[in-house]
Order: sequence, then structure tokens, then C-alpha cells
Amino acid sequence: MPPEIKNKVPQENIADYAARLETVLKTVIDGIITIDSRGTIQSFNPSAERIFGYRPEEVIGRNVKILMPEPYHSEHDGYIKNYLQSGQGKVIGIGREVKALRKDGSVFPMELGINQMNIAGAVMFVGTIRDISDRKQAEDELLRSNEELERFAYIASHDLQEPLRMVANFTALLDGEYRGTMDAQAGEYMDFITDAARRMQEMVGDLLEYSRLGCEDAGFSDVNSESHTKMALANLYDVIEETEASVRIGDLPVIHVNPVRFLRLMQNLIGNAVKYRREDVRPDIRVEVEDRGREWLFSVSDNGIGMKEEYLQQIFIIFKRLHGKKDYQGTGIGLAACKKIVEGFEGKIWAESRPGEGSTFYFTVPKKETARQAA
Amino acid sequence: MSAAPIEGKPIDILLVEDNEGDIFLTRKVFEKAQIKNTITVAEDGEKAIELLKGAADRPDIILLDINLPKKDGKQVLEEIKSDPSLRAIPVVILTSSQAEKDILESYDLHANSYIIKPVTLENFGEVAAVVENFWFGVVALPSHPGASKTQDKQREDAA
Repeated sequence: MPPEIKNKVPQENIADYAARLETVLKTVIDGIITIDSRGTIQSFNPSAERIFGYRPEEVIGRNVKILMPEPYHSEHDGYIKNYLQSGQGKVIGIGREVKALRKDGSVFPMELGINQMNIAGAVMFVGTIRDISDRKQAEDELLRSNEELERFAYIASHDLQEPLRMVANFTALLDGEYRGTMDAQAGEYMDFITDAARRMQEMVGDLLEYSRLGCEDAGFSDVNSESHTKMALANLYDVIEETEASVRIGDLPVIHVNPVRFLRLMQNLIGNAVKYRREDVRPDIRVEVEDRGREWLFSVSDNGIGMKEEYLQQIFIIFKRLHGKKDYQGTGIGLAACKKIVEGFEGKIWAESRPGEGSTFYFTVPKKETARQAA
Repeated sequence: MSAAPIEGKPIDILLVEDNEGDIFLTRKVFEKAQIKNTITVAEDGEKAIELLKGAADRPDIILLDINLPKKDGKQVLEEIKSDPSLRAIPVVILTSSQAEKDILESYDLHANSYIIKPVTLENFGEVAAVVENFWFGVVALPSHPGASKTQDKQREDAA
């Protein structure tokens, strides 16, 4: 709780101080409302007036819950009581997004901050209100346009496969049946076409798979992340064997995710850790988890080639590659897919790295009540 | 080996496909794999049903695309599998669609197998060889595909 206001303001300055404060309250863009410990509105500034559509005289002296839709309207008295008894508030000192009710009955999203003031021994609360309807609307629009873009990518990549398959197949026929009658230069042209068609097939295939991560509904269930990480290892058996990589897996928890996507995520991250190894160093990879209260923090660390800090963001962009095709194969979709998967789990993904020493990829998975914990 | 076609007799394939390139490639691939065959092509779903209902000789196998003009592949599949005189003919869905929905629906409609069109000619050749070997080297098929008619009649009477 904030300390009580003890600083004595010299008497002669108080009037001046109050006048200035009032100017601030009148001109500030945010709505500012003060209430007493019973929830009765004490002041209502011009921005609050504009936001809610009430004149100050219509609301001062009334309970602040008239500005709230259900369920807040009915529960607000309880919130105050609970706070005064326990000192633990849901909004006070934290701030959050809530719904508010205008005079005309319309409900809008607002950002609410509440602070406690103790004035002459009485507890008062100051609420700061910002109407975020516009921001919310912009967010919704962004979400919609992203979804549309994903659908477009899905449809485009799906339909592009057809003609591309024809190009690739007929090039193969042409190559197979007429190579003997071609001169060296024609043969070279054929090679370029074949290679380009193959690459484009790879990219379109990857793009299709990537866009499906957003389009198709993925069911969540309780997943033993340790056994799924071991499954990912089994899928990578050949490359792990070939590079003699050591992969150590810590005790990993049960999490609430889509099992297929989690497997894919782990497989991509561990696969990358092996792929970007240093030539003369045996890959040493660790998969660990840290309990961060509200979420699990997973990490996959390696002793590979690492990368400069400036690339740490770019690597999650689709088709972004840091290396030439000759050195490392692939279209550059692996980490973009990882990002999409993690974001689908409502987590975050990032990397830390030192060139020549290795990289660590981190991702979070929010804790949700798993069936086992609920039981 | 108790496959339907007599040893040495070409496999009678009904290819339901509207893409000329794919028709050409399918013929090519079976020819290259040295599979003796006769391929009859139906370029849309309606034609496929017409051919199947009108012909005295049933094909040994049906290769069915999903995206087709007029009746689409799923409708064709449904009609084949609800016709007692046709339902024993193996229907292999051969499509570029990888969508889970298409795969599930096809099996719900009793497709015998679902194959995603291979992207390279080489793989397509392998797939053709596998299909031929499986359906005409491994699997037992009735010698008279219409034999289940009576059972079906009884079932209908009972209902």
C-alpha cells in the first residue's frame, strides 16, 4: 500500500495547489473518477463525462457500479469489501482491461487503473479510465486480416501445387526421354528448370504446411512433454546417430497443448540444434524446463555454430535463411513454424546465442489446469 | 495369388480424372512400370457413373480424383459404394488434396485407399507399382463383383 500523504504543504500554497490539480483533472485525456470506501462517486472529471455520457451531477453521490455492466455491477461491493479486508485487489495497483457501461446502455472495453489514497484518515480510490474501443477494434481487424491472409496462403499454396507438379513431372519426362538428343547447353537449361521446380515444390509444400498450422483446428490435451520430446528424438534417430550427438532431457512436465504440434516443435528445435553443429565438435544438446509460476519455460540449448545477435529476430521469419543452400539444406520454414506453434499455445519463443559457442532457444507454455491437477 | 484378373490379362483401370496432364502421366507411369493395362478415362463424375453402369465389363480397379467437374469424386465414390454390383471394385482415391477432411470423408464413404498424388515422376512410378502389386498380387477379390447383391437385397427387405 502506498504511504499516507504526510508531507505538509504550506497553507498559502494549498489554494494554488488545488487549483492546479483541478486544471490537470479537467484537461487530462483519461477519465478520472474518485470514490469512497463504500463505492460512492466523489468526483467525475470532464473526460469521464465524455467517455460515459453522464454529467457529473448525475453520478456524484451514486454508487460507481452504475458505470459497470454485469457481472461487475453485482460483484463490485464485494470487490471493495474484499480489498479492504485482505489488502489484495484484482485491479488496484495492477490495472487491467474491463468492460464499462455508458449512460446510453452501450458496453465498451476500457483500461482501468485504480490507486488508493488515504485522505484525512479516510480511504479513497482513484480510478483512471481509458476507452480502448478503437484499439480493440483495430486489434480485431488485424486478427481478421491475418486469418484471411492465412486462408489465402493455404489456398494459394494448395492450388499452386497442381500446375507445379505438371511442370516438374513433364520436365522429368523431357529430361528422361530427350536428354540424349540435347546439346550441352540445352542440358544445362534443363538442369536449371529441374532444380527450380524442385525448390519451388519444396517451398510451396512448406508454405502449405505452415498455413495449415493456422487454418486447421488443433485439439489440446494433456501431454507428457518428456515422452513427446523422446518421440521427437526417435524421429531424428538417423541424424543423431550419424553426428553422434548427445541429447540430454531433463524432467519435463505434463502440459496442455496440441500433442502433434508439440512433437513437431521439439523435433524442429532439436533437429536445428544438430543441424547447425560445429564441424569439429560433437553436438551436445540439452532440453530443460524451468517452473516460472504461471508458465513453463522450456529451453533447447546446443554447442553449435551459434549466430550473431542481429539475426536472433530474423530467424523466425518464414523462408528467412542465414546460410547458403550449399551449406545447409532447407527452405527456412522450421523456426517460423515453431513460432506459430508456440504462439498457438499462447506462449512466446526467442533465442539467445553466441557465435561459435552455441545457441539456446526458449519457449514458454502457459500453465493451464491439466486434467490430472484438476482431479 | 487369387487376384481377380487372369494371369497375363491386362488390368482394366477406370481413371476418373479431368486434368489432361495427369491422364497422360498416369498412362505413362503404368507403361513405364511395365504393368499390362487398359486405361479407360472418364473426365468427369457423371461420365464415370455412366461408364460404370452401362458397361458389361466392370473395371478391375478405379482410380478416382476428388476435384472433378459435374459430380465430384466423393459423390462418385458414394454412388459406387452404394451400388451392390459395383461396391466390390477397389476404389483408390488419387488426389492432390492433403486435407484431413478429404481423407476422413473418403474413408467414411468406403474408399479402399487414399493416395496423395506423388510430386515426382519417380515416386508416381513407385506408387503405380505398389498399387498393382497390392491389388493384383496380394489382395483377394471376388471373381464376380456383383455377388453381394443378394445379401444387400435381404438387408433392404429387412429394413
